[in-house]
Amino acid sequence: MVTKSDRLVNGVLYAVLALFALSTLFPLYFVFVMSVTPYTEVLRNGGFILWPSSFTLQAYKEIFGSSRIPDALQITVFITVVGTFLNLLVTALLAYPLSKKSTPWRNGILLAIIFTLLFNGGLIPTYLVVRELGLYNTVWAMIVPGMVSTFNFLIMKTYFESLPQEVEEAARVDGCGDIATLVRIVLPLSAPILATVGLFYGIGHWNEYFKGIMYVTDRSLAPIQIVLRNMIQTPSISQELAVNSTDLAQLPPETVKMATVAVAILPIIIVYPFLQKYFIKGVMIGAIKG
Amino acid sequence: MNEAITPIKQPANAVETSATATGFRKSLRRLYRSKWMMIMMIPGLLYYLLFHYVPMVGILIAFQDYNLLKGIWGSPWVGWDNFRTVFNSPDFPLILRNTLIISVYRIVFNMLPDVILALMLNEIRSRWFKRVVQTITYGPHFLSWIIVYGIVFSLFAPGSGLFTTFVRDMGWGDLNLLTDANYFRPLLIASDLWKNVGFGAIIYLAALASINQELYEAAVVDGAGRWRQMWHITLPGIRSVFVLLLILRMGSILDAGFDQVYIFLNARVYDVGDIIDTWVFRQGLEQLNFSIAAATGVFKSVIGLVFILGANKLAKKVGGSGIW
Amino acid sequence: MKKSLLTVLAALSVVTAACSNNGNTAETNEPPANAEPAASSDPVKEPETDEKPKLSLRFMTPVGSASANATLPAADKDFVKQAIEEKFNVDLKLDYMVGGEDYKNKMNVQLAGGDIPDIFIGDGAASQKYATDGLLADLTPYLNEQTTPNYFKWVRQQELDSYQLKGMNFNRGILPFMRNQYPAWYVRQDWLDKLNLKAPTSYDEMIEVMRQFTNNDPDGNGKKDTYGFSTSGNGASVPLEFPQWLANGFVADFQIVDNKFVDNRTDLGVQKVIQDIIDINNEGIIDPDWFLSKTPGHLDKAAQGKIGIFFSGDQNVALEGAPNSMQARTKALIPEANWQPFNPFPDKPAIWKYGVPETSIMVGAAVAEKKPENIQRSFEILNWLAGEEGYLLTHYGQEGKHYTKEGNTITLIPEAYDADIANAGNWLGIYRFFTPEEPSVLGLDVIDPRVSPRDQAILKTVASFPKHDALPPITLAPPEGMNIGDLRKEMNKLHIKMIFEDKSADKWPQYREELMTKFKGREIFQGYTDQINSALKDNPLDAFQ
Repeated sequence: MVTKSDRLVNGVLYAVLALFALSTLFPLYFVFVMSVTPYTEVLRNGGFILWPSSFTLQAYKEIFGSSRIPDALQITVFITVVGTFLNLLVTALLAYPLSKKSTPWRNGILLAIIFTLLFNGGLIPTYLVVRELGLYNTVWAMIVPGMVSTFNFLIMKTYFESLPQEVEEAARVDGCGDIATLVRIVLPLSAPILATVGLFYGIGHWNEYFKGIMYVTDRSLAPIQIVLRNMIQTPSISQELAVNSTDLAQLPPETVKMATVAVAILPIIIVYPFLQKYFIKGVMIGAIKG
Repeated sequence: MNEAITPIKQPANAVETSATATGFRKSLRRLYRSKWMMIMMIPGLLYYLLFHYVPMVGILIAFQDYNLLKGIWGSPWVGWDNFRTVFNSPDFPLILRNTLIISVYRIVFNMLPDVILALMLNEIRSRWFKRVVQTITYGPHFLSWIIVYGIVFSLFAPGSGLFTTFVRDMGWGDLNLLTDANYFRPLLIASDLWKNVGFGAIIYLAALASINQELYEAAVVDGAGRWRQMWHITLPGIRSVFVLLLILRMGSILDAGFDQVYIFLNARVYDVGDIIDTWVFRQGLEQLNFSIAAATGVFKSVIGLVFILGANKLAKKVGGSGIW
Repeated sequence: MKKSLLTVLAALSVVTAACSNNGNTAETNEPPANAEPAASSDPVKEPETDEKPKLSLRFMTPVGSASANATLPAADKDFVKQAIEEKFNVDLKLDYMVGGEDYKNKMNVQLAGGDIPDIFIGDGAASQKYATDGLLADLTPYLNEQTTPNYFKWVRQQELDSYQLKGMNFNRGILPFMRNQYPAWYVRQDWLDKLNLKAPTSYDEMIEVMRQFTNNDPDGNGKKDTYGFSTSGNGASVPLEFPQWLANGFVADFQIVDNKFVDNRTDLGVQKVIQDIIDINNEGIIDPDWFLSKTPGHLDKAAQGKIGIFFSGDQNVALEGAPNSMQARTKALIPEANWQPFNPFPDKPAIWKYGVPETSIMVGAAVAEKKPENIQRSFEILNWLAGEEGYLLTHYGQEGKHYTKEGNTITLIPEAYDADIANAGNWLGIYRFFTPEEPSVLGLDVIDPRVSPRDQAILKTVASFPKHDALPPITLAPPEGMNIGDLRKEMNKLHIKMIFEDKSADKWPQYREELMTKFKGREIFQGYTDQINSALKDNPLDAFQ
């Protein structure tokens, strides 16, 4: 079956993908190498180090020496796990009814939801809502205001629409109600999309920064991205005239910055391969049908 | 959970046509029949109401001279003045043009590569290779633009850049990619592609995973080759996701990616790189004016609305289904 | 279903009620209704008894990026908090964030939502908006020579007066600011020695040194990989660190020349400045990356031994005793490296301007109305912070433990300080918001045993470089409806265009005219002149040209 041209196409495919992957590996490698190289070595090379001449975990010791980053990681893990679970729950409960043409007011509701993609009232009124609901300065302020992402909702709805109707109808004939159909039939068939949307939500929480700044004052509730951003931000253009920036000399050394970056992105990258198995389960629908 | 009355759902329009006479009672009955569906939606709808519709009063700020003390209900109304200020700014035609161009570039050159990467990965038979490539290419998405710009700078800085130095040493002359107006947009697009294509492919990979494998088996039996399988099975399988993303992207046509542009922009490429959002940001640095920012936001939204409605209509006409 | 609809409606009405509350009170100009739930204290009651009632106070303040990730230690280790709470019988909460866009946004939403801190601190643009919106309280009863004498050691009454906006109450206090500035150019003394050169004492000598540093291999590595000078343009502008500004008579950003207000960067004389920069840029004796380099990118290069001269306003930058200074960093790589300050313009009356007030202390009108005792107590605390006791505690730690005191001489104990404060997240920096590091204001003399004779000499040299008061202490604000952001952006663009594209400054008069007309420069700067005149009163400036 495998023809000569097929083999050629395969060769090109593998080569192109490998090259591209190498190019994207480079910065991650660069961040990692810098985080384990002694600071003077980094200075001498002005940034780019292909192979560290000596190895040190000093930067990581510094990071985990204070409770700042471990505490922040804990907060981030909490909002990621709890937040993603709630996101998936609420989104699925909204997307399933709206994927059915028979649901009353479906088009109106859909339009109203899509409308929010375009128009929003801005920061001040949203802050007022967060405060009036008693969420201000709690960890929930970083979860509840982003409960449903319209983008993820639409992806899920589109997926539900593409599921074969016969399976669901069979379930209903067997006496399953709406909720039972969703839980017992639809969701098990939706592993790829739940993994995808869950990943998107999880990444959103992992990268949470803005809500942490605006809706939370308590320093002990700050997620990892706030700590990271405080570390790597560069002075903005507005400070071009600030000559007495005594601070610059006191910024943390590059190695500590890079170690923080590594700590902040490694967990979310490691999660991905474990989710990939759900993307290769395309056979499932067929199996159930057959 | 008494569902005995609803054996099999009928298509919605069938119900409607027979309901003209006693429309109200019929729709009540329909509502009752879907009661569990309606109850399911409550948390989600409540969320949209509280966190999107209640705050929407903030849009009024665009038509006011917003005063922090007086708030939304007490600030003086100024009609279209804020919009006039925005449109009359000497830079406005330029930033609008740049925003549109960069945005269209992004749609074309960043959406298609996502699809292509997903298709390529889909053709890979070796599981471990596929998994490794997928994971690595997804990585750069999590680096902030500051860090990515740092890398770009160390490669292309006019004096000390690695690549620049190489070109100079080879005797090919001086390279000024970062400050050359001809290269600014391609550089934006290329670095965005490089950073985000692995992430963007995920959604298509998920869509590919849900294609019924029997279709491929049947195609092989019919003697369809690789390209015909792709054309007749794979592409139709991701069509709905692509259309969905395209329509949504149309809604944010006037967002050209502030985070990236702000970091990459420099005074030598303002003419091709200054966009609406960087302009708004600069306004905010010098003086606090909530109304100008709000007016710009409303303008962007209205344009986005026009585009999204148009795109959805077009999608329905061409392909049969839009988002709603 | 019904029940949840009710919940929705209830939530909705709560929100709208909160909004309309604010609106109503503002329109009628009466004391604002209770926006804060805990505000039930009786405003008529006079709180000034011997035993002060316990109060809860909240201050909102920006911190420098060095303290960005600092967290306050547990209450038992936080000796500043203990001191304040004991002394003033308060429960003090500090909301602190790195100053910048996020800080501004957060302050805006809190003020808009009626969550007004007892004391908040913000920059000129923000405080101007708050003042014109009528959010701010009149500070007259709180901030005066009688109530806060220590404060006036840092800020003069006359400065406070002219800092106020035209036609407004006294509602913007000045945050004590660094009056002394320590700008200087720094040169690699070891390079000078190697090439038999002297520290430049004129512009021409300085250019010659740059030339030699570029061409004559000062680091002796046999490669032509060094540059005379660098700075960071952030891809946005021509930094004022270029000596060409001063060489052509422009000191910092604004000045008064021949009884006229001059905006240095849009003056006609910029033509010569840009032409001079073009000349050295073309000659290749400055780092070609200066324009795109983001602060502090050029300093990283200098630390690698690639740059011979840079400019800095940080007096510690060349000290060998300061842990992360340029000297320390450069030395880690190049043991013989020696950065020394110099002034290439010994004849000029000033090489920079003295510090100007830029940051405001503010109090919400609503809070002052409802809880004047909170504000009063807050200013007592600020006054204490500005006095010797508070200053010493927030800058150097505890007496006997972190420093010793003999008369007016303070001797630091760096080991103890590092152990308790610097290595514990540098948290003391958070409390330092109220006073700059300037012990001389309080007549104190600080001895840091880490400062070597070499470092002492450098500090003395840098302090001796002449500065001037550029303008009376006012905040310049563009006239209503004018936008200086557009003007500055276009100005920067044109400067850069002349340097890199035109490669000539010939067109500057024509460019400038466009800035003055199309971008309304003339109106804005005439507005500035008027504002300065209202502060000068007696002998006004001539019209802006």
